[in-house]
Amino acid sequence: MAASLVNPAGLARSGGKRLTLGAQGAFSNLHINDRRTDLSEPAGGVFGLTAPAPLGGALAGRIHVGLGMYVLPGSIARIVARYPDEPFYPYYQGRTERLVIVPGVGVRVTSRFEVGVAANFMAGLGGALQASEGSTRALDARVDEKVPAVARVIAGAAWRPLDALRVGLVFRQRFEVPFATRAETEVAGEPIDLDLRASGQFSPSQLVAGVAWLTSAATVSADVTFARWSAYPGPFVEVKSELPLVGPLAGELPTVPWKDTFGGKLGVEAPLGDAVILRGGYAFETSPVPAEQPGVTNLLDGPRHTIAAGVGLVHTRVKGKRVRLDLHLQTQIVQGRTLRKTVFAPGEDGDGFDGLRDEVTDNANDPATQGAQISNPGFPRIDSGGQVFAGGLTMEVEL
Amino acid sequence: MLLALTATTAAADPLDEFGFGSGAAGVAGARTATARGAEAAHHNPAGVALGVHPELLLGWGYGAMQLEINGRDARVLDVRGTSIGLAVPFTLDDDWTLGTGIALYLPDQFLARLQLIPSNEPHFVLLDNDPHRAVVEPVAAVAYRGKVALGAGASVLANARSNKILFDVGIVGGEKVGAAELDVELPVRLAPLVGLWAQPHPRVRAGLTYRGKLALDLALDILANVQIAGVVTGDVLVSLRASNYFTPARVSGGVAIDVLPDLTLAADVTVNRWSTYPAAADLAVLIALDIAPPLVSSTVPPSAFTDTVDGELGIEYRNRGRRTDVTVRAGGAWRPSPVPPQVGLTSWADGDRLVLTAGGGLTLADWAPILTRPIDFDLALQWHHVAHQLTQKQIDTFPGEAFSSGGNIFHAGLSATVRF
Repeated sequence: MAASLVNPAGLARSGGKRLTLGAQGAFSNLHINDRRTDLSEPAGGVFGLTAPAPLGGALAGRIHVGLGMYVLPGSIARIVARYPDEPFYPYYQGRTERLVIVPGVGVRVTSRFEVGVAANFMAGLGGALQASEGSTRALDARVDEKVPAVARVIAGAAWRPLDALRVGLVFRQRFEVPFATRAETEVAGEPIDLDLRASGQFSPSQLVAGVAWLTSAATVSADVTFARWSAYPGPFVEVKSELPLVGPLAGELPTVPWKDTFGGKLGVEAPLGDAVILRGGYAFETSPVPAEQPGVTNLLDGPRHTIAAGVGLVHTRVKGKRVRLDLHLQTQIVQGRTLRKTVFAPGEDGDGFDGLRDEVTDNANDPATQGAQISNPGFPRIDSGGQVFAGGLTMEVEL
Repeated sequence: MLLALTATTAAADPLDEFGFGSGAAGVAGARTATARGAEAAHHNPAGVALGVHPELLLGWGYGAMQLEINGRDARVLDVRGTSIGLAVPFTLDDDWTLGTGIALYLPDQFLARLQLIPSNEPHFVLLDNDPHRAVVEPVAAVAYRGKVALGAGASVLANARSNKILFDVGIVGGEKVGAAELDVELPVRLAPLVGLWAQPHPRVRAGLTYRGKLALDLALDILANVQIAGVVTGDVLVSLRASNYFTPARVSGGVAIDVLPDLTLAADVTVNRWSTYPAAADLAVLIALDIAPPLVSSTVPPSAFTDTVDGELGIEYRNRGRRTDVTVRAGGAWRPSPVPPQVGLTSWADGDRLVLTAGGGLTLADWAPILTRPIDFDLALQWHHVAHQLTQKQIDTFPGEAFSSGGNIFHAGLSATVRF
C-alpha cells in the first residue's frame, strides 16, 4: 500500500490481493521560546488496497493496481495562512491536515525492471461573492464558489541489476491546496472589496534515489532526497482590498528565501525467525527555512534528525486469511535555532524580511515615541527546536 | 459593518439522478433489489457482500441539459463526470461473507460548486447545481448464505468553513499597511446509509435502503479591522452563509423477479423527505463604521417543499454465449417535483420529470487465458423530460413577472466492471 506514495513501481511486486487498515499519530514537543506548541491534526487512519489486474497469458501478474489513503477523523483539509510575524513551524503546522488519496498502478516490465505511476488527489476552494442592493433595497447576492480537484503525479522506477541489489528512482510533483475568494460588495454607494489568496498543505517537488542490498540475513537500504522548497509561495495570505475611507490597499508580504533541501535515509530490516521482522533507521534532512530572519517573519525550523524503529508480525492466520501486523515508532529531532532581529535605521528602506521598522514615528514632544517601538513577537530574539514523536500500527490482510 | 447572507439551493444526489454505472442507468436506477458488487455501494450497500471477487467499476457519463426559461436556454451547465466503484468481499466460512466498498462520483469540472442566485431571478433550483458534486459513499456489509444481507455506511460530503479570516489595516511608521491571517477548513459531513437485501425465493429478490439528509454548507466570515487614527476606525465584516446540495432523507424499496431464467423485472419506490428543505435566503446589512448608510434587510418566506414519491421500473434480458454474454436493458421513472407553485417572491423553476432509459452490455465471461476474471462493458442512454409549466405570480402581493420553464436532459454513459 505504501508503494503508491513511496514508489509506485513497488506496486508491481505486491503480489496477490491485500487490504491494509491502520492508524498513526504524532505528538509535538516543539518549542517557541519556553512554550510547547501542538500539531492541529495529530492523528489519522490509514487504508490501502492492492490487487493484480485480471490478465492472463503474457500479462499475467505483470500489472498491479493500488490505492493508498490517509483519513483525518473530522476534516478533509485545512488551509491555514498566518500573519507574517506569527511564530510557528511551517514544516509541521499546515502541511499534514488533509485527506490523502493516492491511486496508482505498477507494471513489471521485465523480471528485473518495474515502473509505476500514481496520482495525489485533493480539493481546493475558490470563487467570488458579489452583493449589492437590488430593486427592492434588499441585497441581491450572487455566489459562485467552486471546489476544484487537485491532482499531482508520483512516478517511479525500480531496477534489480543483481539478485542482491535493487535501485529505485521516484519523482513527486509539487502539491498544494489552493484557496481564493473575492468578496465584492457595494452598500450605499461604498465599495467593500476583499480579494484573498492562499495555499496550504504544500509539498515541494521531490526527486528520490534509493538503493537496497538484500541478503538472507537482512535488507539494508539507503535513500537520498532533493526537495525544491525554493518554489514555495509561503504560508501567508495575499490580500487586496478596497474599504470605505481607506481606499485601495494590498497586504504587504515579506519575500522569504526558502532553501532547497537535501536528505539522506538509512534503514535496516532483519527477520527474527519466521514470524517476526525487526526494523530500524536514521534520516537527516536540511531545513527549508532560512536560519537568519532579521525581519518580520518568525518561521521556526532547523535541520532534522529522525530515528525510527519498528516490528512486523507476519503470517498470522485469522479465519484462514494471512494477516501481518506492523508497528513503528519514530522521533524527529529538530535542531535548536535562535532568530535575532534587526531594526532598519530611520530612512532606511528594505523588504520586510530583511529588517523591522520603527512602528511609531518619533515625536519630539512625546517621550513615549522615542526609540524603536516594535510589536513583533520575535523581537529581539526567539528560540526554537524540539522533537516530534510519531507512531503507527497497520494490519495487512490477504484477500 | 455587518453583511450577512444566507441562502440555499436544493439538490439530490447526482448518482440518484443518472445511476451509478451504466448497468443501473439502463434500468432507470431500479437497482435496490438487484445491485451486487461495486454498483451496490450506491444502490444498496448490502450488496457489496454478495459478490464473489473484488470488483472495480469505472464509468463516465455526459448529460446535455437542454432546459429553457421563458423560451430561452436556461444556461444550465452540462453534466459530465467519472464514476468509480469498489467492492471487496471476504468469505469467512461457508455461511458468512463480509464485504466493504466505496462509490465515488467525480464531476469533470470541479468536485463541488456553491452557487447562490437571487431567489427572485427565475432559475432551476434543483437542476442548476445538483448534478455537479462529488459523491463519496464508503460502506460495509455482511451476508448470510447469499440469501440475506445487511449493509451500512455513510454518504460523505464536506462543508467549507472559515475559522478565521482577518485583515488588519493600520499605520506603521506613518504608512498605511495591511496584514492578514486565514484559517479555512473543509470539515466532513456524513449522512447514514443502511441497506437490507433478501432472496425469499430463487426467482425473487427484495431490497430496502435508507439514506439520511445531507448538505454542503459554506460559512465565510471575512473581518477587516481598520485602525487609522484620525481618519477611520472600526471594522468591516463580510459574512456569507450558503447551503448547497441539500439531499433529502430517503427510503427506497425494491423488488426484482426473474420472470424467466434470463429475464428480470425490477421495480423501486422511493420516498424523499423534501419537506425538511431549509428556509431560503435571509439577507441583512448592519451598518457601522463612519459612513453610516441605512440598514438593509429582507425576509424570504419558507421554501415549503413537499415530500415526493418516485417510482422506477426496469427490465433486463441476458443472452449467455459460449464466451461472451449480451445484456439488453430498458427502464422508466416518474419523479414528481417537490417545488411548490412559485406565486410569491421566489422564482424557482422545476417540473415533474419523466425518465426513459435504454442500455446494453457485453460480459467477457470466459476469455481465459487472456482474462482470468470476467469483465463487463455497459452502455446506457437516458431521456429526462422536465414538464413545461407557466408560473404566474400573485401580482397584488409580490411584484414579479410570470415565467415559463421546462425542457429535456439527454444523458449517455459507459462503464466497465473489472473483477480481480
